[in-house]
Amino acid sequence: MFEIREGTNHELILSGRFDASQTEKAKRIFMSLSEGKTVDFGTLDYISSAGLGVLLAAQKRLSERGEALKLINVNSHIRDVFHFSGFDQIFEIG
Amino acid sequence: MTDRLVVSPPVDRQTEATALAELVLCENLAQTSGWAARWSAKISGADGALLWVPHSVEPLFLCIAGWGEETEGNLRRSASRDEGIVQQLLRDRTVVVFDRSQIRASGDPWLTGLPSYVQECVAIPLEIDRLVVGLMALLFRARPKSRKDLGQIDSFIRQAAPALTRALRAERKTVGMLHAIERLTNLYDLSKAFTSTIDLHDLSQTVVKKALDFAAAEVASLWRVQRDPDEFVLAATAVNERFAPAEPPAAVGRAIAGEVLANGATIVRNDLNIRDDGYEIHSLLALPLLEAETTIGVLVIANKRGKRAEFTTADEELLNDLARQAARALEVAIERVQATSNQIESERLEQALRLANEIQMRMLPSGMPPIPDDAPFAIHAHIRPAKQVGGDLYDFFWTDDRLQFCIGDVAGKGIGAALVMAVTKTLFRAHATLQDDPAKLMSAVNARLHEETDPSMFVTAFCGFLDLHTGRLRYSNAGHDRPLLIGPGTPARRLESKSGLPLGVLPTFTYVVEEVVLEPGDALFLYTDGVTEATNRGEELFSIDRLRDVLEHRPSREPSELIGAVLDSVDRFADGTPQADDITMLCVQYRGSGAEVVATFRRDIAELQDVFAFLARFEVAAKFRPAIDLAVEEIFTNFVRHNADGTDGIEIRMRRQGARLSTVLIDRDASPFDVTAEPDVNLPLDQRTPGGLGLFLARKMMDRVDYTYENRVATVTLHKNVE
Repeated sequence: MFEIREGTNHELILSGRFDASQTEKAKRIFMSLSEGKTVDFGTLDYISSAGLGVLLAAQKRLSERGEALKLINVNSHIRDVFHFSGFDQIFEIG
Repeated sequence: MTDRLVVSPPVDRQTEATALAELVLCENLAQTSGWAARWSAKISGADGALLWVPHSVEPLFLCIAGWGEETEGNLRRSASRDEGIVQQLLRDRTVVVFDRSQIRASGDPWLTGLPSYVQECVAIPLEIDRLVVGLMALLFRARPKSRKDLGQIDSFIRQAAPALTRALRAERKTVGMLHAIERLTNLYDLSKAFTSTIDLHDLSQTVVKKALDFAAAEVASLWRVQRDPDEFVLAATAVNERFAPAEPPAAVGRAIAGEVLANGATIVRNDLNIRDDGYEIHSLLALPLLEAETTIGVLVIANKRGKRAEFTTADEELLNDLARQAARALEVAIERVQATSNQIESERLEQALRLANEIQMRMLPSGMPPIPDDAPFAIHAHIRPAKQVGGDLYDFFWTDDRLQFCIGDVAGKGIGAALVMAVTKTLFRAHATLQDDPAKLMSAVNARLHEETDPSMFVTAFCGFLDLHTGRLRYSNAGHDRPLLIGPGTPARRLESKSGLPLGVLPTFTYVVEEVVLEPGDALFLYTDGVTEATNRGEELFSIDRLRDVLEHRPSREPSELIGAVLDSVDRFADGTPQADDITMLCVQYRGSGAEVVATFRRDIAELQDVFAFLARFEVAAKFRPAIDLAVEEIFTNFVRHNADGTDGIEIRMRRQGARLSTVLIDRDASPFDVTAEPDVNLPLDQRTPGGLGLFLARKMMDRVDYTYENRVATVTLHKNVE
């Protein structure tokens, strides 16, 4: 189960498992972003390369406007994934 | 009515000397008394003489010697009561002369019983130290002309008196001996009667019948003391056959029995006129039955039969003998009754032991629970309780990840040990799921056991937690024999173990956890000392060496096979010798989690949820799960993307052996792809693409990834140590 919703401070809250079968909705939301966002990973349990691909695409698009996604509350497993993939260099992880 | 005589010294010294010389030849009372009568008559010139002596016990005078005509009648009648003229003679101790008219007129049986020819009777008391030891009657057909001979005879008799007394005493000793023999005969008779039965009821009947017989009474009752002296019950009553009142009493003397009990002394009463339970009592003899100075009963005998109807000291003496004998016999019978109740008690105890045995058996896993063939372990246990139940115990249970087992031996035997065993087993079960560490489990059980059982009780125990995925065995030992580890082609060795204190000894003791990794195929053999200390007829012990020998020389290390082999070996060794202790064995074999699970999924990304569910069937620590899921997802999605139109499904096989988890993904309609492609993760954002990232991450997450491609069959094997 994967969910994206907007939090009280306009942050995006991800929860559940962000796997290859869950990218469509995420793509729509992330690609519609026109400005930088804080993305709360606090309740996200899992992410694979498919999820990373969505985040990468959104980050590229935002960076063209000088905007960026900022990730918070990233668990250790996902932190590992970001580290192995070098994504910790292209995302600000708070 | 009598003339008093002045006694003068003897005149016929010659006659007297002859007489005294003859006395030396007298050997017994009959000869001595006969001699005394004959010479008294000769010296005094009397026509006859009779000699009476007092009875030793009864107030009677017995005629023991006679000389002259018609004296046999007196000897036959023999006894005279101590009354009338006799009593007077004894009291006054003086020589008295009775003439014919006086004899007739007296009406006294002693005088009138003299031979009919007697015209004059001279009665001479024989005394020594103012004690009358005899009474001589000199009999005359005619009144003597002179009285001087009487002085002579008196003097002679005084000299003869000591000899007569000696003879009398010797005779009484003999009589006493005869009496003693009679008593012994009676006692023998009693002891025969009393030992002929050990049934308390029969014996009580015998006692009252004998008492009735010996005392010549009408009724005898035996009262028996129960628990305390205030509580006594009627044990038996006997009534004389010839005495048949319309309503024979059911018992006599409840009140008097109470009195005897209170004072512990015999009571003799011959002056009664009371009614007891509608029965008139005029004489009574009541005796305590004493055994080891304790009154265990009272014998009450009522109404002496016969003319005088009085209980005498002879009766008392005889019945005392009877009471002593009866008390001993009754005590034996009572003890037997108690022994019987003790036997009942011990039967009850045996029943309790059977119950204890049942408790023990029920506390243990009943039979062997079904264990799946592909389970990563095999386990078998056996307990053979000793006749007197010991306190051996074992337990085991498992989850997908872990097998927990324990074995224990409660010190001591019997119901106490069985109950402690039950408590220990319960504590192990209760705490096993709460503790994730065998040492903590030991500590918890130890503290509770110490609380709940007798301080003298203790339990040796060994418990182990076997990780079914890795073969890692963590264990803790509380003073138990170290288990044997049997590997393929290696000698059976005792597990290294720091032995802690037995459970229940010190509540604060800290148990340690130790560990060993079992290779697939390794077996661990746990046992109680009932195995190694099984004995044969020569009292040799089965020993650890024999145990090791049996375990090493087996073609298989399958637990039931190993236990069966040890049992056979122990039985052959013991050869029917009964064993003192429970024989308990528990054997665990780690098989490794070699079982493989297989599933095939449609070539569709939407299948991922099912793939994850499939992977979740394999228990691995939570921290490894995302890595495995990720690697599988990446390979799976790669297969799907590379040949989205393929018709075959994608197969996933999973297997765990020890710490090694291997996951194989097979695509039987695959386009080749480069599993080793490595993206440059250091490129700046604008140059990064998602391509190749998935496979790269999969490799990063796994320890090793193998890839083969042949005839369109691509096989990717993911290796991961999940320990």
